[in-house]
Amino acid sequence: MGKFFNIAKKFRVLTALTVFCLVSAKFFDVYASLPKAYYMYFNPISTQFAPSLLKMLAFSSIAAGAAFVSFTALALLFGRAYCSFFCLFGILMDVARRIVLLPSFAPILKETRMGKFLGKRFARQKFAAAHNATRAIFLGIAIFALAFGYTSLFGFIEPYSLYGKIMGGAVHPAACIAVNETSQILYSFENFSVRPVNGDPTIPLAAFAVSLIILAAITAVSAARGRLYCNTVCPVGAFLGFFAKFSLFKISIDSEKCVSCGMCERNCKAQCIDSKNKAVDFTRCVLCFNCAGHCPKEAVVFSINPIFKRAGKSHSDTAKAERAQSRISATRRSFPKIILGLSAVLCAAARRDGRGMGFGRGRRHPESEMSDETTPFGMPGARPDKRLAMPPGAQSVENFTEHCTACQLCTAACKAHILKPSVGELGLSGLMQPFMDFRRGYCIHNCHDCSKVCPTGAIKFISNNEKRHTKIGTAVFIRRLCVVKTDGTDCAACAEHCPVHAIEMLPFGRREESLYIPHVHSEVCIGCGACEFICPVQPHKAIVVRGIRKHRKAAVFDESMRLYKSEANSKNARKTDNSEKGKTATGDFPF
Amino acid sequence: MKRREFVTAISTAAVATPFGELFADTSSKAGTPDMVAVRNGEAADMFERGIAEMGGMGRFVKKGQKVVLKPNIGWDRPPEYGSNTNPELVGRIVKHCFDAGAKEVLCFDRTCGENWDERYEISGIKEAVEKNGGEMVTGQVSSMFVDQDIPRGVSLKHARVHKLAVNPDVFINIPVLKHHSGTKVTCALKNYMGCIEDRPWWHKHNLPQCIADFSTYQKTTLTIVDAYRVMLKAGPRGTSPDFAPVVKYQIISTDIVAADVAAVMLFANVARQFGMGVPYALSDIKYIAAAVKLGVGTDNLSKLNVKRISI
Repeated sequence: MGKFFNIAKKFRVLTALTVFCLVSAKFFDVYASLPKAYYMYFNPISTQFAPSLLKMLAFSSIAAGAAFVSFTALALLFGRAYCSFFCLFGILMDVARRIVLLPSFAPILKETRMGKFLGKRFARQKFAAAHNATRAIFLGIAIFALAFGYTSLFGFIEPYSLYGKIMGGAVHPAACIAVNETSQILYSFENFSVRPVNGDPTIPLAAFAVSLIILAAITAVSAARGRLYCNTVCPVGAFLGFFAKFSLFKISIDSEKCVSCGMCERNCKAQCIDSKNKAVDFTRCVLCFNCAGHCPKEAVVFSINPIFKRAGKSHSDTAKAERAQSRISATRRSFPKIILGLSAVLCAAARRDGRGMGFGRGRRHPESEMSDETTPFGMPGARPDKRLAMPPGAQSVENFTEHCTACQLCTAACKAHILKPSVGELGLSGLMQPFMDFRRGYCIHNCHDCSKVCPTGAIKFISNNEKRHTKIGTAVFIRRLCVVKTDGTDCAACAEHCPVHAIEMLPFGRREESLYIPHVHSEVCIGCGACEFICPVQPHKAIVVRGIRKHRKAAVFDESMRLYKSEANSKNARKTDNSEKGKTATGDFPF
Repeated sequence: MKRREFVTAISTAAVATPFGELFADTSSKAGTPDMVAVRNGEAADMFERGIAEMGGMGRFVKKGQKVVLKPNIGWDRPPEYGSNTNPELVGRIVKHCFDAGAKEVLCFDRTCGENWDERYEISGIKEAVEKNGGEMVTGQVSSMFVDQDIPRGVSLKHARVHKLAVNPDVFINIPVLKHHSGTKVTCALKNYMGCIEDRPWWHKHNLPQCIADFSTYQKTTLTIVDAYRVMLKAGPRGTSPDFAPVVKYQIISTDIVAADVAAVMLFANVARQFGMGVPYALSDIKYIAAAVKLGVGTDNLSKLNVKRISI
């Protein structure tokens, strides 16, 4: 058995580090240079449990939820293998714990006061009673959050999204800024070898603070109590733990070999081994195999679950202890807690008014009402006709807000760095869900990176070609603010930047002035925000994007749509009068 | 060879050689030209021929100098759209600069969008420049820009200018001739908008005047107008390669305003020829008049020594 555990642990560490590095690579991919194969053939992010459940719901397809289905099935075989092998947040906790407790086992630091203190106080784990009521409450909150569309809330308790919030909210911006600073230092020495990152990688301060708080909290918890989060808050842990109870194989202690030395208990991350009673709470075991590695008697075994054996055989003691424990956890005392927790969620869900709770001056503006045309979200201090657009592939506001767990992967993938975690823009119920910030840039015409990475189906995959014709909003032109009108000078910055030719320049004012003013062909406009970003008018832009609630296919501009058709002909006529035709007849050079 | 064939051949050669040269270049004056206009060749070949007529790259680039190229790489469009400067032309210029003894050749543009690296690639210019040993420099990072005064400016008094454009040894402007929704036609003078950081400010404060103002500041060694493809409408970004017919022209000039004047005439001619877009008159292009008023260059081509070559 010892050899089996040895290999199993090595396999566990190898798998965990591979998955962790592969997924984290996306957050460090500051130039968006990962190959197509990363997304198409083996997408490491698709191994995540909760996102795949959401994807399954979003696409109504079992195949989309492969990870959800297979890890649930795996839990019936081996228990919570997912938690140690694939869960990114769990792996992050293991890494954080190892780093914090480094002085307690590193040879140089071991003998120092710090090392001794950490070794005595934190490195040794103790068995703890199960917090089954808390687990049930959080699982309940998760289920209700999903059922009522509070996916952002789900994202705050679900492990993958918490990992993403740390990586996307703190690590990715930090990496980008580090690259930018390095390149700027090199640039000052006339060395142009390091390219700076596109766009503005900074994120709102509040979102950054949320990421850091999550990181600090999880580091502290994992250093002090190991996988405490996994066995209290984590809904995935609770869900898989339920299946682990009935798993075919489980870790248990051979009571004949065991001498109750406590080595396994001391090294159990999940605090689920009671070495005195020689019992293992397999619903909390994350299958890290650390216990077996430290057992001097090889008393830790991986064997058939005693519930599948007849009572009275060799494992009866363990089974008895198990049963006793489960009885304790299901005391009547925990019922009030469960009821309180669930009713709180229900009350919150009932208050949801379906109009978004975003702030912004236009909240009560008629156009901010939920209609097929506009999204209900505005920006603080922005014009009421400026409404936030959802990224292409989101399909509709509902699809996006109901499936996005705010894992921040798209904010890290966004080439233009305009997808930013929202802190109020999408309302309280959309906290940290990304929004398109057209103040910082615009959606790049031939980029569909957010739809390539989204693991939950909030942003469904669309091809580059499809994306170029997907209408996410409409540009609204405010003539009285335009410089052509106010200053009487040429501009056309918006028409220049429009990638789909939705802005036509129409003659304006007297002919001799030769001025042209923009006109938006609304159905051609895709709402990419290029015009809004480039418009020179401050503080309120003369052209803003009004996000539409349901995305649709935009019309392609063709010549029949052109409003000012006679231009070429009339000018031609004018020129021929000016006897310039003689020059063209000379052929080669008109000058 | 038969006698008759021989005679024919000799006489054809005798007639063709001197007169061919003569007819193709009737209005040229003596001495090195100020402007060379070339047509009917591939972009790089036309440059090859044109620069030879101008007296070779050695006339402009001295040994050990740092050469800065400013092509137009504004848009995320491949070369067929005519939105960006022809990459073969830029590549050939880099080669000529090195042949003339340049220490290094740097190329930059502040692209019209944040994804500058992608635009450098799509335009094909990155590959062309790097293949010939030049280096691409970003124009998108704020720290690359320094505050400069523009003493002769009317509307534009200060600007944050790209480091490479400040006091360069040699500064070669390589615009592409195309339609522009704001200024009607964009070419040499307008191309300098890629040297400064805050373009929206220009749009807000009388765009044509700002373009002219900046040209009083920017040193220009040589202007090479790429009119291999001329985008006649839907500019400056371009929505279809159909709007940018291949017309095979090139203008090499020491006078930036004159280059623009010739380019606008060329644009009008091509527009008339293809029946597409608007054949703008010189008076429609306000920044040229403003630049002439500021004394940047001349709009009177007859004052210059212009050489016209058909390949």
